[in-house]
Amino acid sequence: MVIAALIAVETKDLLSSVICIGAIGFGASLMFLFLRAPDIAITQIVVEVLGLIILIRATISRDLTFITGDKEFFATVVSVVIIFVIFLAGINVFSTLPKFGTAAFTQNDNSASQKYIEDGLEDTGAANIVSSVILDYRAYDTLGEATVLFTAIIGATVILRKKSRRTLEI
Amino acid sequence: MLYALCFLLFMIGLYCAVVKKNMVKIVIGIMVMEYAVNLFLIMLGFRFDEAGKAGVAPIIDKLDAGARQVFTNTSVDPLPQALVLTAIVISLGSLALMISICITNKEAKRMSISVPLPVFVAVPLVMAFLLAIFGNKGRTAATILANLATIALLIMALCSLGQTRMYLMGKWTIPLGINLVLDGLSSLMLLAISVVSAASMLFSAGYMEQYTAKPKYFTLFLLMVAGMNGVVLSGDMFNLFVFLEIASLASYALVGFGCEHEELEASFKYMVLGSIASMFVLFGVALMYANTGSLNMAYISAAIQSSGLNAGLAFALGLFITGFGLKAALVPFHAWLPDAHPSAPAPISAMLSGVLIKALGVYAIARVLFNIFGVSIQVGWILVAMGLLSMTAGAFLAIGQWDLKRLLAYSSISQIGYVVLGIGLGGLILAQKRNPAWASLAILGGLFHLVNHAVYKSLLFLNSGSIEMATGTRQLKQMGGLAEKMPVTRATCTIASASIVGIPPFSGFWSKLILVIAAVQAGFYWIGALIVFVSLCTLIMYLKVHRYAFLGELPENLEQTEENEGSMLAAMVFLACLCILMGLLLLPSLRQTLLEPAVKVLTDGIAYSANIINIQ
Amino acid sequence: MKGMTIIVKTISSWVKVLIFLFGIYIIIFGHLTPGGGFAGGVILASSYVLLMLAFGRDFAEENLSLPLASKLDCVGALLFAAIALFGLFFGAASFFWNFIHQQYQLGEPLSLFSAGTIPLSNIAIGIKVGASLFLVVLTLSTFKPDTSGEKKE
Repeated sequence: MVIAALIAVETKDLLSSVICIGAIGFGASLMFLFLRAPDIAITQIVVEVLGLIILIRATISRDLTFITGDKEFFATVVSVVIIFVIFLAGINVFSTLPKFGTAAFTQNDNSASQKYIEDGLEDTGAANIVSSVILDYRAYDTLGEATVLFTAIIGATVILRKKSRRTLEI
Repeated sequence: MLYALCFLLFMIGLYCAVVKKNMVKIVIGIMVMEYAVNLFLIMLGFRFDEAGKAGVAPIIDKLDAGARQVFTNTSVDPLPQALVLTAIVISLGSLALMISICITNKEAKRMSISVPLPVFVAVPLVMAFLLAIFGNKGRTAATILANLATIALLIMALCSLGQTRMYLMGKWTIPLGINLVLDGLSSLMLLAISVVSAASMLFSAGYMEQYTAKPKYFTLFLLMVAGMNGVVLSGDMFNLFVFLEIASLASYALVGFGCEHEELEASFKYMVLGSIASMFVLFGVALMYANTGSLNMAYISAAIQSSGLNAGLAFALGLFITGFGLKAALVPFHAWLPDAHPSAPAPISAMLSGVLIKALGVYAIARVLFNIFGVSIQVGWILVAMGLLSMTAGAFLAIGQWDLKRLLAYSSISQIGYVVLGIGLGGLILAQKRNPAWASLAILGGLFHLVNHAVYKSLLFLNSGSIEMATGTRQLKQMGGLAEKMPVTRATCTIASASIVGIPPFSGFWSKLILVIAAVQAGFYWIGALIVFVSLCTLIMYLKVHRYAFLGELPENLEQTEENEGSMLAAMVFLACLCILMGLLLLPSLRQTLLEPAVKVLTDGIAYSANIINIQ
Repeated sequence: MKGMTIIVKTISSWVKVLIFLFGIYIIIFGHLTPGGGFAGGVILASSYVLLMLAFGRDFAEENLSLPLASKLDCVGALLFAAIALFGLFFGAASFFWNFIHQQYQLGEPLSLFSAGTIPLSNIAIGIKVGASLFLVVLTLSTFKPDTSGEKKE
């Protein structure tokens, strides 16, 4: 997946970039399946497909396939240096995380996840604990998420509208 | 280690989003960052059971007791899965919006970004949904409904001053469910948000006549308000992120509302930097969950107090400062603001400068740093440094501007610097364990300046909108002599400028005075001197505005301009009166209801978590 | 935009119905099997997008027109908000309270009729997500800027 990301970033042809994004998304979905998250795997696959359609629609039919022009050398170097510094700082972080395979929630007593697993069925009646989390325990977040989608779509329709300004009748 | 691979993906995405110049490539970079964070979260939840086999998915399929016991011992964590589900859908939405902006903005295939290196809710929400359905039936009906919503919010905000309450969504106790917390800081922010949104909505009734799709404008506006209210009231970190996204997405669309080329380019730049900031915040939340096992602010704070800051939490702190700092346009991260604020329609500029950068940026920084992590000496100095940088850089850059709204935008950067300086100074004093009364004074100055700036900067932007509507231009060199033609605009602009410069008895004077006193009292004489110096620069820039816009010769093509009327005047006059009256907020009775509870929330710092856990 | 060859058209007219049914299955059984409202809604939208890709934009627009899609979008969102508000009126008087499950305890776990408001919310979200994603793909494909600078829809 990392290789696909590198290709997506560096290649000059936009269509190849988009296809590599599809590859990353598909790979991510497989990893989710391996990591025992079937809900997320399904959602990732379908969202990936639709996202690809949107992206390809944006790239192919608009003749935006090739990038031309120079990049400013100095700005690129500065950005790369900063990103490298952040990366080095961040590597240290991962030593503090619990080993891969011990879930984060087993390390802490206060965590809600243990209660979700044990009491989820009685509290909410749903066998799919992830559903019970997003639609019952944390339904407010799901309202927010539905609103985000709503906002984005209204925003997209607004930006893609016919005439943007009207002349005032004075 | 597999986590490191996720981080590598994140960095690759960041590099792509920051360095590339093709718009679709930048969008691809942001998507890669999202994949990385999602993978990281799911990996956090994975477990092996005792025998070394992989755990099982969190779906129950057998009901007998033995199977349930096995399930309890081997199931993977459902909470990150829920979070990632939400995040995937949010990213689909922002992808759609970004691609729409890419498509419409066809002429610019290349763009240059100079990046040095991401009840209150329900009323606007439901009204927004309703307007989206029925809005097209009548523009006046939509206008009236939208204004009713904002006025209702204003009344509710006034009624809930000074209370401290908690609301458990769905009756699930924390940490199982999400809680909404109303304390002093939240109620102050709510009041500021509702005042500015009521005034801007009133102004929009007249101003937005020049644009099409007015009902959708109201929908997006109300969604932005709903998002801000949600951020301010939230007691849970992921919830904060979700509502942050709502407000941000609505503002991206609103900035590009006019669909002209430069507006769309500004909107795209804003959206890219804003999405990077949101990714940083999400990553920070994921790291916090990894290290503390909870998403609830009170519980995270308790965990940090007992275990101290390790490398992961320190990195998360850095991510939050960067992400929220970008939203607040503090100086290393301010690149989006001078383009986005001028291009937006005037009432949206007023909302952006007046409340959005404060609710999403400054409030979030204050809440996370003071109440969750606790301010240490290094963090205090970082805040003070960013505040000073913003203050001076914003002022210097503003003086040279000839575009009225761009000047106001740089001035916003400078004034936010004051606010962050005040709050940072207070935190520093607390961290150095000196006299807490000085810290209270500094924080009081910062918060008072926040509220003041909300009022007078939005008034200034509304003025610029009224000038633009009447004369058709934003360039100071093309204006002149508007004093006779637009008397109300001139009067309100004078009041607002006097406030922002700091002339007594207007409100700005008091907040700057408190800041200077606090700085001098704590021994930072040079900071006090710098504040006074930057105020002089502010004076220069607003004298320039007045000289060119209102005094001087009236150019020939502007002979026909007349004062705008109706709702726009009402909104401006309302805000001007507030400017005059806000100086009275320092009277002890008003101060105790409004400002002191907010100050107390911040000076209490990490005692917040104990308070919350005790309330429920 | 134009459609595709006759082979694609024939097959997609069968497959589209299957995809639509699959989407509905994922939504309704969301509380028992993986999936849920969002994934199911996206699948519903894709069935219409398939229609659009195979037959051309105009045909798809006749099937589910722009204003109808946008109204469905809002209706779905309002339905979800309404389910939240209903929590106020029953017993515990709080938003998002799972009133059907907590008060009435209908249904057995692991069967279709269980889990209170959760399947209802799934359906509301499914409608909303499906309608809005179809709307956005339709709008994106409709947009054609002229070279003269005037945008045509």
